[in-house]
Amino acid sequence: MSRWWSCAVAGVIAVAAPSVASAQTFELFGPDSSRSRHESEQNFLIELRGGPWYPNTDSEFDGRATPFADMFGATNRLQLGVEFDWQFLRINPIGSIGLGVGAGYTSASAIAPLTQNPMPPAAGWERPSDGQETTLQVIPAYAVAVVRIDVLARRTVIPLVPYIKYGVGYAYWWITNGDTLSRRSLGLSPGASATDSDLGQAATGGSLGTHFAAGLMFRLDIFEPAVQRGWDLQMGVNHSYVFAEYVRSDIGSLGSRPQLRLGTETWNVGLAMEF
Amino acid sequence: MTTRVTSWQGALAGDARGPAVFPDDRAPRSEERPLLLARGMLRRQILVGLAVMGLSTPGLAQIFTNISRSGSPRTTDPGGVQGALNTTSPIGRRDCEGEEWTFTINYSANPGGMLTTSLQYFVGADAMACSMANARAPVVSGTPRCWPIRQTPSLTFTNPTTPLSYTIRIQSRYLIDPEGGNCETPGTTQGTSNTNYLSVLAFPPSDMNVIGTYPISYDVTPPDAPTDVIAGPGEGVAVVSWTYPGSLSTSTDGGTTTAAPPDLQGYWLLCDPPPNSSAPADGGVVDAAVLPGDDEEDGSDATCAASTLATVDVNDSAVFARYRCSDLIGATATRAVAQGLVNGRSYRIAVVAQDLAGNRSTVSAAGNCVTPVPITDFWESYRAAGGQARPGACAVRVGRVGGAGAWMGLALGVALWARRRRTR
Repeated sequence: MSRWWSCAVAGVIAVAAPSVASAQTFELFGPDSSRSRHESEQNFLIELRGGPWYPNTDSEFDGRATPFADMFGATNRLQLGVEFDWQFLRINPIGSIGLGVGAGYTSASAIAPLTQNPMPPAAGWERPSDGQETTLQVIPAYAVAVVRIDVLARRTVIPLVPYIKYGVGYAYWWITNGDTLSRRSLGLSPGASATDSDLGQAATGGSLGTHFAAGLMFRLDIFEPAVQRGWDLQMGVNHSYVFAEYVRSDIGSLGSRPQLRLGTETWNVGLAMEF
Repeated sequence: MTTRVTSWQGALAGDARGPAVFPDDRAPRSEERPLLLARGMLRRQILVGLAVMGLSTPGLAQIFTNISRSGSPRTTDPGGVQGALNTTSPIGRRDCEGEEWTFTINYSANPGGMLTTSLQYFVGADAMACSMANARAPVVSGTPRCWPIRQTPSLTFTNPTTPLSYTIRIQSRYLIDPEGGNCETPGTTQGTSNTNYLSVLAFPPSDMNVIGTYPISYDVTPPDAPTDVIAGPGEGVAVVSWTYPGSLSTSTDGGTTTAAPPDLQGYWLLCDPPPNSSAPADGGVVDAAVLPGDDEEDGSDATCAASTLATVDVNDSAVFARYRCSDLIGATATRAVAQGLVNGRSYRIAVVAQDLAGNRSTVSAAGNCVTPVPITDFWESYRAAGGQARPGACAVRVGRVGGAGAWMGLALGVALWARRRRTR
């Protein structure tokens, strides 16, 4: 991974150096000097994204148990989301720094097994051919700092914008038993004891952790520059992109209490617009 | 299936037979008869159009205004029709039992300059039936196609003065079966059409005295009963699947897609013994002591008493509500959850279909005997495996967030400071 990044950075410098050198000044935090005088001001970016999701819930058990895989299997789920960035700082001519917030939704469902006695056998539950569903539903959200390097797209013919994001992630989750929220109860829930503090409580909560992403955006303006200028003129959309992004979130890794781990290592693709 | 006519207006009805077309008053020759018949039919079509399609006749304003209906048990069905029923919705079997329609009659002229002594109410099998004296019951010969409403007390309004406006209330049963008020098998018009025409006639009688016609659609034919009911156990519930005879199923790689028949609103589940009951009303077996691991634990070999679901009167709201163990389920569903059951108690479950007019099918054959038992959901299995997380959206104390939060706060502060400098 480090070699790949080294090559990428070297490539960026090699391609961008002549352009940077030809720029009038290296103006930190100044206005966007490379912006055409016909181009509208650019401050924000919005992304619509989607990708596979499989949480690292079972990592809590260090191989002793795999309750998520046992219940929901090993198949990836689809996660959809949206992100909004405020590009509040311009580092000419390299790119921009911004703050981003994003949120999404994903879930995993399966037919729940009937409870056996004695409780709980960790494996070998008999699953009826048809029965009640249990569902884990998650709304993952994050707040990140975003650095986008758009000098290539602005100063050369290469329409690529690499970027990285880092910040905190939070996932609100809830688990259902049929149509209602799950609640553990003494005598019916496997392993429940009278000393458990969560007896009778609805299975809903939040988990906190870190969020990292790195990706590459492909600027679509090159295909129809005139159309893009028209969008900018009419709606203020400066640029539009497709992007692919590597995501690593460790939700459940921060905080003072044990939390349901809902982090994942995955990739996303999507559409983005700067305006 | 029902036919809906949504447009109406009062109209002066004429003689549908048409005027004589032969000045010498001779009888038409055989080759001229088709032409005569065609002209008569054309004139009749035009008059039907005037009556039904909303073309007003000079001298008569709208006869029916402020039409409403009330009292149908459908309007209190959980998950079903709420509030007032639309006046274009067909009258169903259950509407018929207790519903009443209200019409405001605006009567502003004496048709044809005749002195009107009373207004009377008829129901015709077609839009023009009541305009012809020889079609109004009782008829001297042939079959009547228009009948007086026999509702008690009589709806006849005597000695109207003009202009006037007054309200009449007619029970749905007499709009369907004007003479007998029979909801189940309306004898007079059933089978000829799914639309009747309420007609207001000004008397003395004449072929020119229909002052208003209003279409009433109805459908008292119940849908077919579902079949192949199968129930599986859940925690305090049972998962039920069934087949509807008229549904179209298409198998795809991703599953089965079922298209609902056009005249189907949905389904109800009925449970025996009734849900949320402390004791079975019909001798159903109660196994309150059944615990996970007992013989009946998997719900497959439980025993049930003979079900009485087949005797449930689906049109008796009180009885139906007692056995009902679901809200109204969508028409495309073939699987749903019966709610309000007790773990360890054995049940039989049946399905009732309901069409768009609120008609309910007979109760399907009851499915297998099923005994709800606890299930282990994901939260329970996670905690049973030793998972340490606890519920609570605020499970994290912000003061102990750690380095990432501090760095984020620092970055935000620097950013705002820098932006402030930039804008100076």
